[in-house]
Amino acid sequence: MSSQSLSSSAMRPVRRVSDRLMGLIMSGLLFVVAVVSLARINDHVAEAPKPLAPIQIQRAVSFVDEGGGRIRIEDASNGRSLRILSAGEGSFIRGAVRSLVRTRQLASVEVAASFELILYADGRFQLYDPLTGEALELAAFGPSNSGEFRALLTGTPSVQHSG
Amino acid sequence: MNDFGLSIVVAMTGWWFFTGLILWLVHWPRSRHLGVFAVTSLLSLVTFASVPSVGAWTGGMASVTAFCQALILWGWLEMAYLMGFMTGPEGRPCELNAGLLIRAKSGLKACLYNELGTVGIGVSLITLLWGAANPTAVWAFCALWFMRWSAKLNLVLGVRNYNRSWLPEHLAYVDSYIPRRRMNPLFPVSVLVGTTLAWWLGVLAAGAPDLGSRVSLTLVCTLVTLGTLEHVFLMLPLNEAALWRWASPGPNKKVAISLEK
Repeated sequence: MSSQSLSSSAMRPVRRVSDRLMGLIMSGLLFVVAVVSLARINDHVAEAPKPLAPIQIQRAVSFVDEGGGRIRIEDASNGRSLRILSAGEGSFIRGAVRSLVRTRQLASVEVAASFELILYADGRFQLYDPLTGEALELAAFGPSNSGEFRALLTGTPSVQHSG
Repeated sequence: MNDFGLSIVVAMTGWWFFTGLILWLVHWPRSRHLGVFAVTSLLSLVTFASVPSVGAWTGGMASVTAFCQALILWGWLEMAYLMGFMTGPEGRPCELNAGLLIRAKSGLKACLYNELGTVGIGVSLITLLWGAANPTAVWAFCALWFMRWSAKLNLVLGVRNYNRSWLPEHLAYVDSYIPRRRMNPLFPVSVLVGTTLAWWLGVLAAGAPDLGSRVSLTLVCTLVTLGTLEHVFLMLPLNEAALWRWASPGPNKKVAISLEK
């Protein structure tokens, strides 16, 4: 606050709201506006319309929590390991699966069931949950992120961890 | 991009607004404190009771709501301390140039009940929200908790500046626990840990796949960033008055000071 405003308010004894209260009201207003605008954003990424193009490759994968932060990703059709995520590794895969698992928890369905990785002929790439119908459009997260899942779809099972 | 920006604005204004609201209420006449405290205690109780249901709810709105819950519970603790309803077994100034141990002991005695309350609420939030789909409330609360304990330890070790005018009259003795130092050994560690934590939360937020976790990680990241900045301000070689000195040459400054008294 400048000294000019102080001296002018001293000369004219006009009743006015104090600067402190004004700041409080302003911040409160800004807070409410920001909260409401944030609340109105919807997460449409997970609700993309069903692709019409035919399926090119599809693989059922399960994510097995081995404890200690280790997650084994296996081909659900034959139980062979595709990749092992050690603690702290594969944050995008973990995050994507976690968000689908949350929907399962809310719907009270089997949390450990497998998911479908589906690549469509038009280039669309989804991690699809057959139990809840929720799907993540993996291409929306950029090539390096979706590439992690692409490797699970096209890669051959890792030999050293099989069995 | 919108959700990151809005989350940062929500965290900053929320923090600013709640701090301002508490300071404003604390500086009301003391006769009104009991009424304010009763109403806010009821509000905190309702908030606390709704923690588990908000923890099971996901999405952007859920994250923001949980964040507000943490701010309300934290604000209530802060207000209980500043108004003097929940402080410690003994609040007395310690003598000038008292040693670190004596200052720390007096400081702890002056706010022990409040710290126990913080631990109690913090631990119950951790228990209630363990493995919850939306743990934003416990993250935000723990961020505030960690930053506060770090700040308090820094204060008792000695800092260059702090907002002494924030303390109401009946807590003015707290000032005697806080020596003025140019630096203390904990300060660089606190700033480093705070910065690393904020950076890590930012990276997690950028890679989060769904809106709810993106919003909640950004909110907590902003909170840690603000807390770290507050730490930095404790050691900056300037005070609030210095911020405005450039605008008022000699004579005007005297006028301003005499009017404020």
